[in-house]
Amino acid sequence: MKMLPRSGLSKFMSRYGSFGVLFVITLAMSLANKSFLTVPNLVNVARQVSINTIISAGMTFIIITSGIDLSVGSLVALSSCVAMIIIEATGSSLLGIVTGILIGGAAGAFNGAFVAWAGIPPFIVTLAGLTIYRGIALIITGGTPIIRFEGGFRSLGQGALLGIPVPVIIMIIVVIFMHFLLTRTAFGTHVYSVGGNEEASRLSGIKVAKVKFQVYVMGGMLTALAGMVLMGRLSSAQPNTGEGFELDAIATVILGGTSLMGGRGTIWGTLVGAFIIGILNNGFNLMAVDAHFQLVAKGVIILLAVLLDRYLKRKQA
Amino acid sequence: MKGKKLLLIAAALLLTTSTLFAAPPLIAFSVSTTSNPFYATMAQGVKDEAKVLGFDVIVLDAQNKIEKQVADVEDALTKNIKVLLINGVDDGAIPLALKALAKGIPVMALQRNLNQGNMTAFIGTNNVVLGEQLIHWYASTLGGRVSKVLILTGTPGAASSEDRIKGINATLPKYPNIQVLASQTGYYDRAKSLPVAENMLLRFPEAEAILCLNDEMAMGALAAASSMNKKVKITGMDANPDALKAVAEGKLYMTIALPPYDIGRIGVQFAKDILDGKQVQAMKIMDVSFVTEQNVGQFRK
Amino acid sequence: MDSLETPQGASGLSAQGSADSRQSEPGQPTSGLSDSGLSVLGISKGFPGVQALDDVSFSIHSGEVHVILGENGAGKSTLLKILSGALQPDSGRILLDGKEISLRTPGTASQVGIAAIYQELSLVPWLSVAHNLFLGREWMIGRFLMSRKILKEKAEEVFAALGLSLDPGALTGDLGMAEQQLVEISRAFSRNARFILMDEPTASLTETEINLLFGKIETLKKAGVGILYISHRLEEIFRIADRVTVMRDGKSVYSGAAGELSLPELISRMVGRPIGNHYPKETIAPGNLLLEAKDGVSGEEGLTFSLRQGEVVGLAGLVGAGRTEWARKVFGADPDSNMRIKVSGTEVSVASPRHGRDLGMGMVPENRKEHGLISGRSVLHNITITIIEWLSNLGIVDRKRQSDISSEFIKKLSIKCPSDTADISTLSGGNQQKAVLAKWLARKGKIIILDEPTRGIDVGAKFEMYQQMNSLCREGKGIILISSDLPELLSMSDRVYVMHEGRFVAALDKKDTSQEKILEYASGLGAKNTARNGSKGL
Repeated sequence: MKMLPRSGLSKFMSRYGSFGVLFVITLAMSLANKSFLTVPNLVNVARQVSINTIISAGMTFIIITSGIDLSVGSLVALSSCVAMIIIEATGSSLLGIVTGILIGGAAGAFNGAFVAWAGIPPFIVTLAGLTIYRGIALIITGGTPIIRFEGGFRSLGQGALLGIPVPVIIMIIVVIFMHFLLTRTAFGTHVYSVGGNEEASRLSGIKVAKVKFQVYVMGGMLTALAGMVLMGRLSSAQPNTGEGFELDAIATVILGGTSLMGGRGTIWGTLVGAFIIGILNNGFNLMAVDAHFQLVAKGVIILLAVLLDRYLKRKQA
Repeated sequence: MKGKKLLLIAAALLLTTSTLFAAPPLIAFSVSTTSNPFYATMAQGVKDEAKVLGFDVIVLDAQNKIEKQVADVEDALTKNIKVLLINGVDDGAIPLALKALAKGIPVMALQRNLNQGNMTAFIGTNNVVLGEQLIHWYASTLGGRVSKVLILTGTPGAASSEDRIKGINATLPKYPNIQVLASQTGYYDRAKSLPVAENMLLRFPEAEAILCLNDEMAMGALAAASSMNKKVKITGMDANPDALKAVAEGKLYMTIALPPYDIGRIGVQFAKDILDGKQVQAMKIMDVSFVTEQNVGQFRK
Repeated sequence: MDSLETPQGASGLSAQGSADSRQSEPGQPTSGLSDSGLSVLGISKGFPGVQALDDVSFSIHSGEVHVILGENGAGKSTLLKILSGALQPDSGRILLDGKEISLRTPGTASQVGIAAIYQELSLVPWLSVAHNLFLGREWMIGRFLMSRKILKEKAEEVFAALGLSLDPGALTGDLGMAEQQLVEISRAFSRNARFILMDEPTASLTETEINLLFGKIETLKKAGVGILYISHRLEEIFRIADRVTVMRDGKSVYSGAAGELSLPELISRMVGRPIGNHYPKETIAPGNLLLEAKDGVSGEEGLTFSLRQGEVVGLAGLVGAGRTEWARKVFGADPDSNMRIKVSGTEVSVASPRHGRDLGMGMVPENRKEHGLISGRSVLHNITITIIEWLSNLGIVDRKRQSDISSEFIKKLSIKCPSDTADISTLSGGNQQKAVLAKWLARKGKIIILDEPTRGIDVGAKFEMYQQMNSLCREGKGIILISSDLPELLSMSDRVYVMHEGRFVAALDKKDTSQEKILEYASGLGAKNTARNGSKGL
């Protein structure tokens, strides 16, 4: 068979089709609104996408193994409530945050154990998790938010280093770390393999169940980390927060070019996906688009973005 | 279990004997849910006022389930109640109320209006009026001065949010000095309203106030303003404990307290009036209280 | 609602075509067949990186079997997809009875009477045979109710016309591969297909099943149906082909009547070079004992399977005899605690594929796509997947070493790929198979289980696979070869075990056995004492 040469650009586009989508949306938004392309607004957007990006980074790993995690929204609430209760009781932000993240890991382990060893479909397990974690959050707080205007935990959400907001710094660290984990480590290779072909992976000697378990634990911990950032941003922990976060995270991952069938996906893509959603929300607010219309427009744009991404990829494939 | 059953039988016996001896008249209050503090307070108001006026009262908690409310009220109707106070779970309570009316029992709809015009009386607040009152109040703080404001609305399609918006829009033309820069939804949610408020403040730095249609969004807007180091007046609604705390600390400009306790009390007073053969107001819209730093002490327990 | 008058209807359509449809075909012999038919003229189709079809012309006539030969990647499947409307050509024309047609979708192709049967069957396993037969054309009572009775009667009519004894009420998933294939053929036939395109229909069939299939092809021919048949099994051609076209690198390099060229001549056209010996088996003096195992059913009485260094030991048996099942137990893919084996003299019970791997075993599974390949991932990823932990330091992969090792095996096994980052699923079957083998060689496996290693791959790739087997033996590895291709099994093995109903029924030395003898044992006819003679203790 003759092989034709392949240009660098086409390769880039086929890999990062969603990048083109982001570019188009950014261009449209900056043309539509003069306050969009300003440094304060871009910093603002980065800060706003941080929570979703941190959750979606974990979700990317899960979806690559052809799983799903619907419990992230509830887990944001549970982990932040637990953390806040510890902070209120001990006065130590650090202890609260560490406990909160461990709770995330434990919830992830709960999800992962049922998926990996009991063989229950992830959709079912995490749907159960969605109600269980929300319920526990409501029980331990008695259904009322815990507000606290002092303590070091607030710097996770409100602080800044060299002018860069702390949530953005956390997001950058998470993205780089997760990208490295996915592309440069044996674990990342296993994650891709399990998603690409579970049986072939098992027959190649990969501990498939262990890989799945780890992916959910990691997802749980990252979700809890996002919960800590949200808690810092709001100076409060709320048992009913985070509803619908799972849908945002799934949309983000898909927009980033990760396949729901598993085996394919990148962390960069997810970051791009998070910015697409973040810029849409930001742009709608800046242009003061009617709330009812926003719902329609957001759905249509997400659909168009995925179509455009597919088109760019197919054209270059 | 057994003990509980015996107790119930004893209670039932007590009830029948008490009616036999034509003791105080019996009224019933069917409430949507007492796990919501707002309605728990309303139920307390009913109980306290019943004691004062010499009624026997049974409070039936529907636990937010319409089918439980149906069963509760049907049971109550067999017990020779004189008046039914009802805070419906949803519109499914309308046929129930009509059934009671058909039996000649007066029905007071508390807070949730059921089948306007048919009920003996409605007592509660009204979201359209609430929207109107918010604008009247804000205008009263300005003294004719021009003010640019942002509005955070509730979940699109939620009746309370749409009604409050209706009231606001109907009242704004009366105050040309209030200029609305933008109105966006914060989904009644603290976490979701935070970025929206940030974006709006960035786009409209000249805004003097953010009027929020509930306290959760007001708290989100508060976090947005503090993250951007912006001084902006934020108002909420509901008088939630954290909102009251924020008002006391001077962070939140105002929140609106609804009077659930008084709604319960007036419901019982109306019941007494009717049984005494007096006319009552068919539509009693309760006044709300505007809670600011000056008067917050009365509302915090 | 479709009529079911196919046999008569189809033959009635012959002899109406125009003569010019074959003009541009080089070396077209006068076949004496009817002029009506399906032709392609100067078809080209390119994909990024590959020119899959380059100015291809040929035709199929009613009532003939036209076989297309060619290595994988020669463009046969692309041609088939174009004819079935699944792909659009970049240039060229398609003519039906001399009239130009355009096949925009598989639906259009089906309307003009072209049906394709792919290797992956398109039947719904949990529906009945009759449902599958008429999927999308159900007979309705009113608007919503489907008539099961009519469905069953119509299905019986179709099967009767083809002389098949299939139960229309049976659950399709319960049927064997061959029967499912026959359902597909019946479906095409019932849709008045004038042309049926078959892609490797015999790939997963046994000898008996193949005979049955060929009988039905004969029936279809007589009914006037034109058949395009793609196969790797060269020996089949002479049994069914009327005409043969050979493709290589996207071009049609030969077209002529069957029998015009001998088998070796055809092969040399296919690969572009002569291939002397089909089976280049080298015999190497066996070394140390690598593996001993029982069949797991017969108990201590039964035969013991043994494998030594440098040996290829074949496993023969009919489909369903339990060869793959046995191999999967040995490897740990389906752990069975009753199955105790001796690896290099140590008795173990293999608990998982990982355990099997760590004992030095490797398996190239029968179902490459589902069990072998990690599709969507690169060649490099697929080759190094078994050793990724060896290549890692504190979990971080040494990418240089990874790339070196993958390049080494790409070179060693001559895996043809644009680069080691290419998606494994874009490679041809033979090259995919080599990559699956490579991952076990990278792991330095000593015992390699090859389950139908040459199924669905072309002659050239088969030959290379045999050479690889030789070189593995030279390196002191032992190979367990499972194959339904008896000549291959017999030629490439040093010894052969025959399985029947899950048991080893014979251990035969290559020099004193024959295909007939193996078949006899495989069908359970072999005398028991012969089997005992071959027995050796653990």
